Amino acid sequence: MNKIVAIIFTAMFLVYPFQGEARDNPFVSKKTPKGEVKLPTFASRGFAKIALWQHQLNKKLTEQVKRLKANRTWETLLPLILISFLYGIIHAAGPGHGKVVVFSYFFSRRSSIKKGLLLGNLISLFHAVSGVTIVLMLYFFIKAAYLSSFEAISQKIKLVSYSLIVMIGLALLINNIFSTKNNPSRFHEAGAPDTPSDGKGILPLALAIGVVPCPGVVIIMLFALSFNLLFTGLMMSLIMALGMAVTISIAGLMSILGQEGLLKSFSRNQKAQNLIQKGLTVFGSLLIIGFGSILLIGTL
Amino acid sequence: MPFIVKANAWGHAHVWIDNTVVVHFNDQGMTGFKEKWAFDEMFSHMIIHDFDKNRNGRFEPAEVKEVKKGAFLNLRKFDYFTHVKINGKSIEVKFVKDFNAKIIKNRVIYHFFVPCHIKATSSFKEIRIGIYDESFYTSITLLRDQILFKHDSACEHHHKVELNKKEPYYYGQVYPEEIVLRFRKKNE
Repeated sequence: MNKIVAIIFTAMFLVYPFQGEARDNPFVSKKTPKGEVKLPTFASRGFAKIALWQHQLNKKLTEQVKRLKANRTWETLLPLILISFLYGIIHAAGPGHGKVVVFSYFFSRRSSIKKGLLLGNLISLFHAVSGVTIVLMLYFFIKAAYLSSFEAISQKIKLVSYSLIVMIGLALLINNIFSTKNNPSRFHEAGAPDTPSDGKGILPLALAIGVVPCPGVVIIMLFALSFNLLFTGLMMSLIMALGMAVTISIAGLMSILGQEGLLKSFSRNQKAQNLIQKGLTVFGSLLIIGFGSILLIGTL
Repeated sequence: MPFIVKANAWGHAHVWIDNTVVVHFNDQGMTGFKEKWAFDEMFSHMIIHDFDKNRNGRFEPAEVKEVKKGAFLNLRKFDYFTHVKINGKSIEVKFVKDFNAKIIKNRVIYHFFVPCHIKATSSFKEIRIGIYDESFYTSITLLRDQILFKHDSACEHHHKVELNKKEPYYYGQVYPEEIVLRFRKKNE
């Protein structure tokens, strides 16, 4: 069983970093498109299903908002809540939303499942709050064009976010190098009670990733506002964030549980186990720095 | 409106388009093709908010100009999501004409013509047209039953829609859907 987990972990480890970040809006983005890494096509059938569901959910959301406008009852509200939640899960399944950084972060330090869930939930909450804040600013105060304004604001926030991710990666790297030097046998089982240092990076990292506004939330929020449904829009954004939290948390949990599986498969060889763990902590930090840098350079 | 969902796209789109293609011919051969993009209502709302300045539910000529400038011409960098191959050779789509934008039932509709002159000869020529956003920000559904042909009396043609399994996009994960059109001069 541990070997299977280890194989899955390794496969994810190889593929995940390439599943890039959220793309810019091609209708207004000032950036020139770049070539990208091509991976072996192995999952297109699964992706086809996801795309189909997402398209259908988008249509259902549209219809349900209209129904709610015409008829404000629990019968129209409840399906809207369910659809928003499912939409959030599927929306975050594509590139972006910080999953690569979350995945790498849990390489860089062994952590508990609780922390994995916490990070996923915080990121998606900040992600939605950022989107909602921008929409409210645009709608009530700035009253500017949505497309170009959102793209311009989003670009500036991305610059800050990606810089912070690089800095956090550097801090983790330095911390990991020093802590393994000072305490080479440091070990922490997944699921074991957290030590205070485990949670140190969670909040800054969640803020750094989540501060980038979610375009999905922005589009839904603006659509709800077009029907004068401010509170419905806020509710849909929050529910969608809960859905996204499921997907982002899964990325974290895969990393945490995968790492545990991999290390346990070497449980008879303590030396190899320690070596792998040390390698992963350093590599996880380097991955965050590298990924953050690529994003940052792409934004400049 | 009947539609067929593109069978092999995935994940993370923010904008959805239902796409119709009308191929135009004349006595000499093919002259190009017209695309009609119908956006989903949510994205349509953003475009309408930004460009229907007088809030009358339709785009006047001056507003169409602004739509073109603010939410269409940038797609030149992406070949207007239109990927053309003539007899296996890729052609960059850097120029389109006759752009128009309308609002129909809360949906924004773009119309534009992609000039593509190919002389018909006695032997078949093959043109492949794939319409997709490589970044997958936009998910484009080709309405297969609405591929139409105009002024084609001088040409013999047939077409099919197939997945191009040799050139997947989006990190190599998605096979583009392509219209494969073969045509030649009609025998007198």
